[in-house]
Amino acid sequence: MKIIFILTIMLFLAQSVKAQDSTTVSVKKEKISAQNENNRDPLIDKKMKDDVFIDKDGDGICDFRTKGMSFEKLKRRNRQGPGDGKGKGKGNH
Amino acid sequence: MKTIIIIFALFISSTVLHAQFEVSSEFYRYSDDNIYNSAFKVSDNIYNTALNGAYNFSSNKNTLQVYNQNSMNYYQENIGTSSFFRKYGLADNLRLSDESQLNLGINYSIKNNREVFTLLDFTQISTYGNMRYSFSETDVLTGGYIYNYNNFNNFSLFSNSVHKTFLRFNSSFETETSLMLSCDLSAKLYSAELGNPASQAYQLNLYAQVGQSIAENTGLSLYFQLKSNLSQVTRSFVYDNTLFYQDELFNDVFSNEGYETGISFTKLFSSTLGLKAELVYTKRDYSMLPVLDFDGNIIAASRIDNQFGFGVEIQKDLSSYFQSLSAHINWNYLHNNSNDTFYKYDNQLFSAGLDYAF
Repeated sequence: MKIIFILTIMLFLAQSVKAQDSTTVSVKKEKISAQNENNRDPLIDKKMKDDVFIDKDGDGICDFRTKGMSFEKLKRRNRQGPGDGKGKGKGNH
Repeated sequence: MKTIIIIFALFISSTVLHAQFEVSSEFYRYSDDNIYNSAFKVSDNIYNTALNGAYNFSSNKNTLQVYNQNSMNYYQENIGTSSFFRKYGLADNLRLSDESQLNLGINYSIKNNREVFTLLDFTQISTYGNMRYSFSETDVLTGGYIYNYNNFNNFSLFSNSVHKTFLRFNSSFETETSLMLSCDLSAKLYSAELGNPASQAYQLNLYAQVGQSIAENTGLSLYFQLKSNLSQVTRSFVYDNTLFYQDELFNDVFSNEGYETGISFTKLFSSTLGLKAELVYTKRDYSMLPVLDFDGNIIAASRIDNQFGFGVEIQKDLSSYFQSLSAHINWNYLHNNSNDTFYKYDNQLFSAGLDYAF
């Protein structure tokens, strides 16, 4: 009987603690929610910023998603100066 | 203990240097079936190597970069066509506010050729200044000025100064559309006076480009460029009873006017693999270049070219295997139709190469 009583007390205490935790979590969530209304989480702001469509080179692809990829490199390499000597000039053919 | 402190200090200093010192290198192999872009097809394999270095002096609002670029084009069969290119420069980026920044720079370039092509050697001094202003995160206006002095060591007759001003506007919209509009006005002034009043040329360029995202990481782009000569002048040179025009020796951008339009498709399959395909049509009117037959007789007053170009490029980022390493494969096809038989040609160019930066 004593053992059953002790187990009942322990179960009650455990449920009480769980209920308290739920309340705490709920309060915390409300607090965070209230905070975010006034001052959004910087991580959320960053994600929103990344989702803004910005296409600097005009290829139709958002530049945030093309970091590290550049199709302009080859074009730049071929623009090395005012002349390439192509033409009818003697020795050219 | 002293040794540990020294090693630690060296480690720290090398880390700082790594952040400030940039080095990149490239190695490409081109297989070109018409290296001079003429009716007389000459094919060759070209090996291009490049080594670039830069050192940055950075503060909160300013970055000053000192850089050097070196490259070599080596032609396997036509060795005399091989060339060396070097550039030394200073570039300064000053952040004036959150919205505006100022870029200033100066550079000196040298191109040295081999054998008979040393006649085409040149040096260039270039200075520029431009201001970039962001109205918002998606709307940017850039305006600037560029001055180039092109010195052709063995053809001082053609040496010239070019002044160029430009204005460019970029905007992106929520519809995942982007718009780029630009215009520039250039003036070319020959250095050597020949008693000819027509020693200045003016050219106006208008450019519009629209980009549209059509699916995740997939884009289409359409552009149109109009080039108009407000006043035109070109010079020629007689050698061995043959008349050579500047454009035929130095690819003079002022020698022609017309328009160019193109469409491109870009697809990124992943963050490391991309494909781009491009179709371009160009019409060029060389109003000061008469059309000659192979005997040197003038058969038309001015040369007119219509050119179709097609290209496909695949890029693969290999940095997961080796730091900042990327591979590129490219195929280009050109068909040039001209009323000058010498410039009726086809050209196919395959290239493959590696870029590396550390």
